[in-house]
Amino acid sequence: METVHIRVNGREIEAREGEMLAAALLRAGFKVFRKSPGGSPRSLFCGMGTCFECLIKVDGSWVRSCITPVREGMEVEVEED
Amino acid sequence: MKRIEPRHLQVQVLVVGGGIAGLSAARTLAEEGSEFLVVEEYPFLGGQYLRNREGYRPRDTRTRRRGFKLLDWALERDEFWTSSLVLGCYTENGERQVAVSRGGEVFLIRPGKMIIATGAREKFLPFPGWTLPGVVSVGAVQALIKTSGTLPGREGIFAGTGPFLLASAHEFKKAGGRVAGIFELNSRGRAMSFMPFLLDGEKLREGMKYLLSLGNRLKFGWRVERVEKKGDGLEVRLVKGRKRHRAVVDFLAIGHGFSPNTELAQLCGCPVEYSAGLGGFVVKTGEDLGCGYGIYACGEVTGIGGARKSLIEGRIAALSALGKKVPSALLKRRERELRFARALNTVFSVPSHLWKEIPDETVICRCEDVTMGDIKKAVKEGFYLLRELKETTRITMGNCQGRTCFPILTEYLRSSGISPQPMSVRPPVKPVEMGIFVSR
Repeated sequence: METVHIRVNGREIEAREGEMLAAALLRAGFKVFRKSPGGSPRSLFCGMGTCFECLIKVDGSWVRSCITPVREGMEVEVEED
Repeated sequence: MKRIEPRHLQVQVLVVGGGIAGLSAARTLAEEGSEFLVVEEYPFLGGQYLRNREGYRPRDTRTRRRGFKLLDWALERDEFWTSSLVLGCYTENGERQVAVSRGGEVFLIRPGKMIIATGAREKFLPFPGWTLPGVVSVGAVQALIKTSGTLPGREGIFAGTGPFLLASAHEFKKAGGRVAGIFELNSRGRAMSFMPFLLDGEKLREGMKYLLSLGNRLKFGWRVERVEKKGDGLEVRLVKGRKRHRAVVDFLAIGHGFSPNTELAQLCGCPVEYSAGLGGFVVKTGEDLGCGYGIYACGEVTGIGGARKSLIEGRIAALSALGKKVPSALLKRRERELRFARALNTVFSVPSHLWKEIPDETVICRCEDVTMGDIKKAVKEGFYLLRELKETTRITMGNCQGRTCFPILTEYLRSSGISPQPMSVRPPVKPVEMGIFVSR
């Protein structure tokens, strides 16, 4: 399996080609992806693009990380706890 | 900023959704010599059931074999657009136009006929703590494993209702995970009443496989009371009558059945109706799966019934869309699948009183942090119409546009004797960035 490199909050992590961004983030130890309007931590929930809980910024655009495949050189921003 | 000019396309039949129902419809359209285009939101074909990934081709059941055969056929063709989101359906000069966002461009497609196969999403009975990172849907566990080969943690609890709990736990165990427990909400007796509907070979064999692998982990009559963060893990508290159970695990997977994705169909003018036996609000069709206006619906949108129902309905919808006669044997097979669907959704449902017992502190609308207490307060003040609840609490107003909370709200209101109307849907069907309409 090919390895791709992405940057999360400036930190480089390895991911597997073809996998979804949310999976790569979880494996790299990022448990929290964003905060709700009330400030509570949120992460992957439905895993199929329905709930929008895993919404994060990739190269300046908002994406649902559970249905976004990783791509070499992606710049990812998550809101850590 | 400059407005982006959309590209125009015309197609004989447009199929929305590249899951098993959409694939089945497409195959029939191809066999009948019709021109078609399939638009799929995900970056892969096959939907949740097949989830295309190179090298992932389990062929343990007939339905899966058939499904993967369809998928491999589709992968060789050009009529399938992945990562393509349908934004809406409009009428201009009496002609229907479907707007699709694909690769930074907007396409306006004028289809002769349209087949809607948008599938379903999971449904949940919420409890305090269900928004915590580490609480995921049972579908998310399968999705992580099937598409990315990743486990949500080393050890987890599966809780909720329905055979999908077992299917997901089985996948997790096979991938090397530790199943700490599977907690079915309904009683053993109630679950057993489902057995006669499994007596058709394929489904029985699948059920037996899960029970042999995980039967000793399966407990009946238990419900998650609350979840709290504990160190790096989650403390899950479960309750059964006066009995209590507590465990610390890496993750908790929950699922209480499915709810059809009717949004696009509604936007196109198709009628929907509430049917507890079919999983909630479903697209209402005739026997030919037509809902008027040259639109047809197939698969989970017409009622939650699984992959085999989707295979059959895809064929029926395609034949009907082309004005061909549907063989009566096919209609009979659909009837059988509908009986299975009704049994499934009835036996493995959430007992009505549990919706009323959701504690006030529980978040119902995850996007806008609206709690059960907020909803109860609004209902008490007389705001029980959906529009009023939206205005007073912001429920359904967030990013997911009510996809997660509206089925919960529906069940809660119904348990309180109020029958809510279906949600009103406006384009875009799912949120998109403004950037796709203007050049930067």
